[in-house]
Amino acid sequence: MTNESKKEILLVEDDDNDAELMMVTLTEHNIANHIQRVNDGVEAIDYLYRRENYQDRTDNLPAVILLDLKLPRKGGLEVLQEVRSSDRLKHIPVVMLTSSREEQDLIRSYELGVNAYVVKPVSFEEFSVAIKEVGIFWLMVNTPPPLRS
Amino acid sequence: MLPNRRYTGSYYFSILLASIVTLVGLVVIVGWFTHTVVLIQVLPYFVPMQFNTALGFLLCGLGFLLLILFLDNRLRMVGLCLGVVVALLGMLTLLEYISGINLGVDQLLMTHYVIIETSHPGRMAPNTALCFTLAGIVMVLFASSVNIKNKYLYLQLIILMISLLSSIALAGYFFEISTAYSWGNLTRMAVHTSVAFLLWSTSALCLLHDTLKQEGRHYDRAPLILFSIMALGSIVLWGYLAEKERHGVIQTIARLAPHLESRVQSILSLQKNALQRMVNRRKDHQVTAPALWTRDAKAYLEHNPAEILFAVLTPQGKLRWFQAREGQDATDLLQSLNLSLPQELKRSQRSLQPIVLAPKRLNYRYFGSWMIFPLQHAGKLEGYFVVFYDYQMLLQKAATPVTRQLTHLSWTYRQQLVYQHPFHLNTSQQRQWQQQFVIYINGYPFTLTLWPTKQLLNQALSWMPAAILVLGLVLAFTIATLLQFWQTLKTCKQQTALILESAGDGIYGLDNQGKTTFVNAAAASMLGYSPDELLNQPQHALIHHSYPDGTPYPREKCPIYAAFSDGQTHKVNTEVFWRKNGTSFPVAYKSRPIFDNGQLVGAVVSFRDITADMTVRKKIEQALKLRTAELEASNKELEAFSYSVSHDLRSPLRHISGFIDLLKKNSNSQLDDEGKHYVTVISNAVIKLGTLIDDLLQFSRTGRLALNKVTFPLAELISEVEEELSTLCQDRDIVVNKDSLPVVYADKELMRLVITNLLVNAIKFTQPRKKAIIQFNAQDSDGFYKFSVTDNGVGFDPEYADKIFDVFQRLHKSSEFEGTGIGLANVAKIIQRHGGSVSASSTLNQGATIYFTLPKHEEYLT
Repeated sequence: MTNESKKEILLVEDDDNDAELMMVTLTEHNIANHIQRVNDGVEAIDYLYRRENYQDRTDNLPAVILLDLKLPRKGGLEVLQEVRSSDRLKHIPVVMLTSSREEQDLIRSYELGVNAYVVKPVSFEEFSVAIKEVGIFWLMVNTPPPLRS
Repeated sequence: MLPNRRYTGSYYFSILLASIVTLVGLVVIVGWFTHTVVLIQVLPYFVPMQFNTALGFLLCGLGFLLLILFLDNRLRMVGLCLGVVVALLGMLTLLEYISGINLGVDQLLMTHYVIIETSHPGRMAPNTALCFTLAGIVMVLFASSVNIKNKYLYLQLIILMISLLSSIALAGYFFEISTAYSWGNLTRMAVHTSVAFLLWSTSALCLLHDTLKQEGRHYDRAPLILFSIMALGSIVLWGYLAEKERHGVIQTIARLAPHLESRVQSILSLQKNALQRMVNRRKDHQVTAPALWTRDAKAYLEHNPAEILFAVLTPQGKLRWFQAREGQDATDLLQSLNLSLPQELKRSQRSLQPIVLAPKRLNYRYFGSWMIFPLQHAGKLEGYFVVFYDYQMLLQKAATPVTRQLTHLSWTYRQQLVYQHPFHLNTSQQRQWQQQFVIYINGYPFTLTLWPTKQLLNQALSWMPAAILVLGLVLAFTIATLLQFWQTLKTCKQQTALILESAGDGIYGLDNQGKTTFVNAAAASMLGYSPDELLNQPQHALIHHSYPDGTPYPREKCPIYAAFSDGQTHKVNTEVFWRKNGTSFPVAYKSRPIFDNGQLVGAVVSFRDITADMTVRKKIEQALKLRTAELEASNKELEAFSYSVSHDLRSPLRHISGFIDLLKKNSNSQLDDEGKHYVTVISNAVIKLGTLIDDLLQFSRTGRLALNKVTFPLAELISEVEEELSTLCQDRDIVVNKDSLPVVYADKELMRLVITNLLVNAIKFTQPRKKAIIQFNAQDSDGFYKFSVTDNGVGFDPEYADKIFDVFQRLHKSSEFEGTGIGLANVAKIIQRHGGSVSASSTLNQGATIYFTLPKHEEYLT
């Protein structure tokens, strides 16, 4: 609760194009400056634990993690698992963002405690709507869990 | 009995013979009605054919003709009925003979008027009755479709019996053995009766053999030949014994003739001597006292009843004195004397010897001869002493009571009856037995006829020959039948042995002690024993003593032995049998109990070495495992492929779509019209590609996902889908009829896909119609529901009906109707995964119908 004004969305996305499209969308709705993007699962974990490149960042947790399912090095499901198994991180809302409609991914994600599962639509219009709503919901509407130290 | 009879010679021959028999019956019946005795009797002294017999032949012949002509037809039942009537006729008559009760069958239809001695007027002979009974049985057996074992053998034997009986009778007529056609003192079988029976039985034999031949049956002739030989043998024996007894009787009678003759001669000579003495005394009395002589003569007459009249004549023949038997009117005698004597007197005068005149009937009382004694005195003829001598008295006196007990007798002289005993005669018996002898009395030939009395016949004739005949025939019949049975049994046994020996499975039998009763070659060779080593041995201890792991197998637990304790068949294929050399092999065996009259007497065990089976099974299992692994791997590959497709193929698409949109939004003003058009085309193509990928992934998923079957009403699901699709057809008039659809048992989500696809299709292809009508129907078929979805859309060319369920198959241009061509392929795949099938029918421009079936849930199957 220390730094309430600086709410952050952690976007874990390896694809620059997807990331750009999302940024475009979120920029349109003035929430792009809340986005912190990392390129893969390893980076995401480093970020969350303030390790390696992120040792210097302020100690606050993202309001939501937008997690791509298919990531190099460490996949989205592994990241989710790690987040949920950590006492410190386990309350962070995680939204799975994926191109896949595969049922097994969906089941596995919910088993691991995902908060939402969004299939990225092919049509940019629909995609844009989805991203906007996800961003606004988790950043503006939802009340995040209290930060534990 | 025989669908396609060939018409052979013997067939027509048997028709001819049966027709003749019918004709004989008919002719004799006509004879009875028209009083034409020739037709009934043939010859006056022949035995007549009884009316009932003639009727029997008519029925027999007619019935058999029907049988021959309509053997494979319902009309043969008429023949069967006639057979029953004939058999009844015979049996009733036999019953009358046996019981001695007159049932009124004999003269039921015709009064017996032919005068010939018979025991029962109008009743057919017992052998005739027996023949009819047998003939009736033959007809019934022939006509009935009832399958009796050895039916043809019985038929042949019975027919042979008829021909034998009639042959015996006919032979009797030929060889004049009356016992052959006359049984006991009963009515005799007529000669034409025997002929008719012979014809009938020949006809029946012909038909029978023809039938057997045409049915392709091989019949062993041995029983028939044996029967014929035995029957013939018993007939010969019977004939021999009967003739021997008959000969005995004839001998007895023949011995009586000389005895009688000597008695006659001695009595006669005594009496003639006495008369001579009288003549001598006459000479004396002439001298002494005539009155005394007269008294003497009276005493003579009184003493000797053969002498009827004494007279003394002058040498010229004048009556000088006479004395007749007391109470006897002498007028007749004297008149006869006057008429017949003068010639004879001269004869006597010349020879001076006594002469006897030819015997003649004097009147109703006397049959005798005049005896003439010349009266001489000192060499001079003084006259004649004449005596009328009656033979009846002589002959009566000659037959002693003992003789009379043995024989009836009759004396005739030149066809004139002189004397007979007894007074009333059974001429039929006489004709059968009589013997004639010529005996000279006083130099005149008298015929003596002798025939036995009942008393003699009863003494000399026994039942034995007849008993031997009957016994022989019965024995022949029985032995022939037994031989047939034995041969059948032998064939059966050989077949069984052959089957056992050629069987590939091991087979052995056990008694209820568990010991082997038989064993086949396969069993012995599999077990490594010789059959002798296995026989009579307790099998469990020998070949089934241990479990596969070598631990002892207690006898009480043996399923083989259990068969004859619980009466159940036991099948086991997880055990081993032990060979002689101590090795074992896996077997599949079956132990089946044997019951004898409901009593468990043992078991039959068949077994198979399943070593090879197990090797094969193992190989198959291995191959299956390998294949399963391969399939699993390829399935995984497929899954990985579709996984990566779903992720990686869509991302670039999204990017294209996204940046095109951004381009449109941000740089639209910088694009000219052509540029804008390109951008639109790219954007649409991307969206379409996205849909295609989605559909493909869906299709691949429906093939892989596990089914989660539940029961739900199909109509409800359709309503839900309709609801979902309502946005798609807001501006359209669509009616969906889905009444009376059943509850189905299926994966609801997949079925939702099916219904969605079907409805989308129907909505799509009815676009040109003002009002779209979509009709769901269900038909209850055996174990299945057959559903149909009919629309009134544009339909499709029925030539391609089997193609519309293929992936990417489109029958319309995509500009006409949008779509990827995967919808119906999905439907087909889902339905097939449920165990159903799909099909389609249509007339172009008049709508289409898609059919699909779903198996019912087990609960609904009833």
